[in-house]
Amino acid sequence: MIKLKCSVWFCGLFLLLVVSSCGNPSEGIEDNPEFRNAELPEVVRDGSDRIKQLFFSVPSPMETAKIMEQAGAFYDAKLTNDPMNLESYATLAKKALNLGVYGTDLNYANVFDKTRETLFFFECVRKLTNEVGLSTVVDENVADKIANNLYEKDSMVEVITDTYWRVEDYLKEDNRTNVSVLIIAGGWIEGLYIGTQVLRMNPSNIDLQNRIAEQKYSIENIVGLMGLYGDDDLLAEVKSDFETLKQLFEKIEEKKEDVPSTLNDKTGELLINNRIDLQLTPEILKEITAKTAEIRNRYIHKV
Amino acid sequence: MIRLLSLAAFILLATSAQAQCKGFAKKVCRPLLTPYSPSGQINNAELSPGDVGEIMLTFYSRQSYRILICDDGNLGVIPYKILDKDRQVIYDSETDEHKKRHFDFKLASTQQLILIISAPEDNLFNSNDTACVSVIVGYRE
Repeated sequence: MIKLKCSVWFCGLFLLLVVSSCGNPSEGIEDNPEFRNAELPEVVRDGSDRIKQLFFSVPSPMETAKIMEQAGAFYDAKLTNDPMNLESYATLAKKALNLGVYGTDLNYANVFDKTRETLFFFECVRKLTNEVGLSTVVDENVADKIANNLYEKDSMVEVITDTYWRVEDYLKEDNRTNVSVLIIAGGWIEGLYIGTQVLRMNPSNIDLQNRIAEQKYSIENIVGLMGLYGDDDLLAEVKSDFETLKQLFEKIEEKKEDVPSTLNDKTGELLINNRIDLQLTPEILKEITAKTAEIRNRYIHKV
Repeated sequence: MIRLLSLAAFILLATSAQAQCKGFAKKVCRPLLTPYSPSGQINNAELSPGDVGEIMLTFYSRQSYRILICDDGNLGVIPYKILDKDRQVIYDSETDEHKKRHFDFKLASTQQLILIISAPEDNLFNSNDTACVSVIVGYRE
C-alpha cells in the first residue's frame, strides 16, 4: 500500500544524526601544523541569577537527515506515518505533533530521493499547517517551489529551511510558541522512532547506535524548552512523556576526557577536542526503543 | 543593573522581541551565515543594557558549525562567550582582538555547548535603549 508521507522540515532530527560511520575526526589533528593549541579554559559559574532570557535549541530535521544519509541509513516506508491517518487528528495538539512527525518523514524521504513520497508528505504538512492556522506561510508559492525543485535536493533543503523559519517566525509573532514546541517534539520523536527501528533491523550499526545515544543531549534541550512553559495545558501530556523518556536517556553514562582545543589557522575553525563517550547498554537501548515506539504510536494514533 | 526575570516573563519578552525584531534574522543575519546551512531554531532577544541571555545548544560531531551573533548595533557590540557543558570557556569574544561576530568550529564528540550573550552596561546607553539580537546556527559537511 502506498503510504502518504508527509514530512515537515522539523521532523528528521534524529534520523539525520543517526548514521555517520567514519573514523575519529580528531585523529591526526594534534600532529597537523595547521592546528595550534587554543587558550586554556576559564570556568564560568552558573549564571542563573543573572539570566534574563533563556533558550534551548536542537538541531534541525534537515541536519539530522543529512547525517543519516552520510551514515548510510536506509529508507523503509513502513517506518513513516501513514498519510491516511491525517484526517483523524482532531485536536490542536495532535495536529501540531503530527505536523512534526510528517515533517521528519518528509526530510527522511527527501534525503533518500523518494520524490513521490516527498510530495505526499509535503501535502500532509501543508494540510496540517493550514489546520493550525499557518495557511499564509505554507501557501501556493511554497507548494510551487516544492514541485519545481523536487529533483533538486539542495534546493529542496533551501525551500524547507526557509519555510521552517517562516513557520517559527509566524508562531512566535502570534504568541503560539507552544505550538512550535509540539512540532519540534513530534519531529524529534519520529526521528528517534525511525532510528531505533532501523537499528533493530541492523543491530550491528554502531554508528547508528552512537547517534541514538547522542539524543540524550537533544532530549535534555527539548525538556528544558518545555519547562519554560510551566503548566501549559497544551504541552502537559507531551512534557510528561518526554520527561519519562529523558529518564531513560539519563541512564546512559558519560565518560568525558578533556583535550585542549586546537585552532586551524588556515580556516579559523576551532576544533573542540573534548571526547565524550556514551555508554549505551543493550538493556537501556531496549527500554528506549520500546518507550519511543509506545509514545510515537500513541501520537500518530487516531483521535 | 541586572534584573531577574522569571521564565514566564522570558516568553513574553521573547514575543515582544519578535515584534521588534520581525524579519531581522532572515533579512539581516541569514546572509552572514553563508556558506553554512541554517540549523536549529531562531533565537531572537530584545536586550536592555546589562541583560544576559543564555542558550543551550546541541551539536553533532564530524560537521562544521558557525554560531552567528547578529545585532542591530543599538547597544554597541554585544559580547559573547561559548562554554562547554561544564561551563569551561571555549571562546570569549572580548579576548579576541578580531571581535568576530561568528564562531566557527568542529567537534570531536557530539555535545552541548552554552552561548552567553551580555548586553553592555554603558553610560552611553539609558535603560530604555534596547538591541535586537539574533543567534543563528549553521552547519556544513
